[in-house]
Amino acid sequence: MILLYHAEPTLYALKPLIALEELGLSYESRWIDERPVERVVPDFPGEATQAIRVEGDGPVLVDGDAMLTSSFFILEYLAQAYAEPPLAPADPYEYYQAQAIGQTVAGTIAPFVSALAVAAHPVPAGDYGDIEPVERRRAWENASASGQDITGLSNRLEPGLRKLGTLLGERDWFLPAYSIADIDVFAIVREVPALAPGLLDEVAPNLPGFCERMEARPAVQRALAKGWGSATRYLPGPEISRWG
Amino acid sequence: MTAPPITIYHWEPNANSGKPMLTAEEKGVSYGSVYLDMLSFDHHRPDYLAINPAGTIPTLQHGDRVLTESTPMMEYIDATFAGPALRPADAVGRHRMRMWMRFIDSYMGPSLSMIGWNIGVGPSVRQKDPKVLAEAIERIPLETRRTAWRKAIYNEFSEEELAESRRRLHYSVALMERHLGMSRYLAGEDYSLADINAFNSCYGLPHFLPEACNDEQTPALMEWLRTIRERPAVITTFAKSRTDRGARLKLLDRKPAGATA
Repeated sequence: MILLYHAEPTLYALKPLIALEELGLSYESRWIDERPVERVVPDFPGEATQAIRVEGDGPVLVDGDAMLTSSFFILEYLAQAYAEPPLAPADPYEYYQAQAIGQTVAGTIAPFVSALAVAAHPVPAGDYGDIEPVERRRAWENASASGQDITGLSNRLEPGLRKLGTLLGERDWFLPAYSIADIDVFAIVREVPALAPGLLDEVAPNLPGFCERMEARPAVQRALAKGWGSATRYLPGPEISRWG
Repeated sequence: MTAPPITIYHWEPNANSGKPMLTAEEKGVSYGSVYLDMLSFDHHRPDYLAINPAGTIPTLQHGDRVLTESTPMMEYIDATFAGPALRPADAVGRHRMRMWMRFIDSYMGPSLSMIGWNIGVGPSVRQKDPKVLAEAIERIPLETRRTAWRKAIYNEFSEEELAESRRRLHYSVALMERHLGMSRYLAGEDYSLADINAFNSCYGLPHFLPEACNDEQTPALMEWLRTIRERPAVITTFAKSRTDRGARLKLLDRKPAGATA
């Protein structure tokens, strides 16, 4: 039995939804718009990785006895555990490239897209004082506050988006075949036009066409239809590097 | 003698550089070793930028393939070459391995390197000619890396940032201790890339954080460090150290039976 605890089909939550649909797996979708980890973790007291929340409040996949977090790693998990149709490349170098794209997205793009998303769509004001650890509490408090530096955040998105545009080049997909790398990029990059108007066309003009190809896939359309109309469309994501 | 199949451009067998070095050594894969003196900014010189334009360390060259992301590079070595498997075969174990690696790479490692730069590397680099340092920073290709090096070299860390790094390290050490009290290695009962990744950052913990990482408070973590420290591949790899970093392994030597502190 596969359970997916997820918020609206945006950003991190969208990734496993697409993979589950692509793989044709039956799963139970459990909607959550607040702190998914706390809702699921108590069932897995012996799993120390429950405390590793480097992605913020991303989706949680429960597959039998296993609890899995961190959206790119969930994609890798699903591609290995349910190998047909193949969503991850068999060749080690192509697999390296998929992981390198995952790192680029997680490290240089997603933190800024997440910050822009919660700046445009703040989470409800509330008392988040009980959230642990402290950096996650701050993330929720920031996500309900106003006055974020939108221009600064948009500017910092540029290098990562340029890199992705170069990696894609003239191809349809990031690797020779459709893969988890495409799902990973799409889930984050599709939000950019609304959050930083004009930026994608300027720095990576091939990415809008890539997003259109993704949106034409039936599995992607089914995943995007998994919304439930919550006003909280975005949850706090990974933090921006403290090294600047 | 045939040429080694791969070349690794690296600094000290430490943090990121140590990841591919130790992985190759554990696999029994011989490699061409090119030592770059990071503190002399070797990795921002034109001949290295011709190989890795981002100027990051390490780089792995395998034929015409150039790999620059250190954690995925470890998985590439394990998947490509014969030798003992360094990743769990099952998907859940592999996920656990990747979670620990991400935790080290993006949570614990940056805090540790901030402390390391503040008390160790920064003061020694600042003895260089200020003009040479300023030029060296200007040559760094990635803006994010320029910012990081500037902070490190000129010690632009606030007390608040340093305190936050120490808090994160204490939290990380406690988490590892709890986990290693239940599990022999990070990803399960077998040694894996997660241990290699984490050891490269954590072997200096008894040096940097003696108040938190010691036999009384973190016995499981200390035992894990000592067990890995004694692996032949670790000894061979750390012999490539050209600074005092390799000598920090001595803090992990077991005391002879019957000896008192």
